[in-house]
Amino acid sequence: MNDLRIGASTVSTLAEFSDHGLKGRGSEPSLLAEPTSPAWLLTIATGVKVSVAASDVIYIYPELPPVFAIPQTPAHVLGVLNWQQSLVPVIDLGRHWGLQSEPNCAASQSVMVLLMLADTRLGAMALEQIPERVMVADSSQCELPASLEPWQALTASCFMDASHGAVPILDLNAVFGGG
Amino acid sequence: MNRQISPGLGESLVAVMHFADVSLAVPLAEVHSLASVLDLRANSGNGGAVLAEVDVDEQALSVFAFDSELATLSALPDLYRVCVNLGAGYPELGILCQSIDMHEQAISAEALPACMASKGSILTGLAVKGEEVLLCSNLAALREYCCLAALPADQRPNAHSERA
Repeated sequence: MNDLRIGASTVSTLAEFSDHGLKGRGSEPSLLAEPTSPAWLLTIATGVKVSVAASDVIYIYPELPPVFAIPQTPAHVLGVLNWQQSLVPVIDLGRHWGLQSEPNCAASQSVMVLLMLADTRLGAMALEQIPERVMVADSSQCELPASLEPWQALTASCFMDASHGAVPILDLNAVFGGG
Repeated sequence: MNRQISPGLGESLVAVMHFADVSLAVPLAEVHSLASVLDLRANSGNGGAVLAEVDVDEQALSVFAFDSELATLSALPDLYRVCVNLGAGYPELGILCQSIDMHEQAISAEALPACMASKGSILTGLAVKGEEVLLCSNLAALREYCCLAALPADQRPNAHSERA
């Protein structure tokens, strides 16, 4: 696994920060707080959280908006929503990853987030809980849990959260395709 | 903020065919003519997805119909009364539906987002018109889809299911 990447930006390592930011200033890097990046924790299934960069979330729906079901699309695609006259695909990542046993788990999805993808595209994700804001440090980088390894192509990295364990960082362009 | 999620497919006048709980827009330029369900005659072939035939310009067109999931039907639904004969220049295909609307204003369709693409799908794009979301297709996609559906089940590589 390479640098800890959250969203479009690569988190600088402490060593890089020391090399480029502190040389010649006479400061001691070890006395400084480790740099962190803001992120959102998204609950895609009961007990399963993933994360995206804070800047990737552009709107959190206080209640589920109308979603238009589209026939002949993959099962984890719930449909599209109409965001200011633009159609945005809505996905259920928990269903995509086989984390929900019930075929129709819409009742458990009560929250939706609107996400910014590359090239100004948008995507939406149905969630079980309101997203939680966290700060992610470089040193918290860890390996993807074995149970999620089949989905490694959809993740950019992974970090260890004190409360929730290993949390994959999503590669949203891979998740929504076309990136 | 008003962003496109995917490349545009251009602006065109469309006709919207209504099936059970689902509607499908096709370019108006690809609608050759309309016929009544009373003009259909029983399918002389081996049945399956081809529900009937209709004679248009001395050609016998195969007639298909779709359910709410856009799967081909194998029996004529009672409420489907209009046969839309599709063809750019000459008729190629008949689609039986409940009703058809001609939109007076051009709509701008967008390609399906990558995550929604499904092999063998009838859909080529989506469009938004006010609060309404239109499912878009065209003659080429319908022709390919219906040709596959007309094959015996064991010869269909990726066709969506057929419903009775």
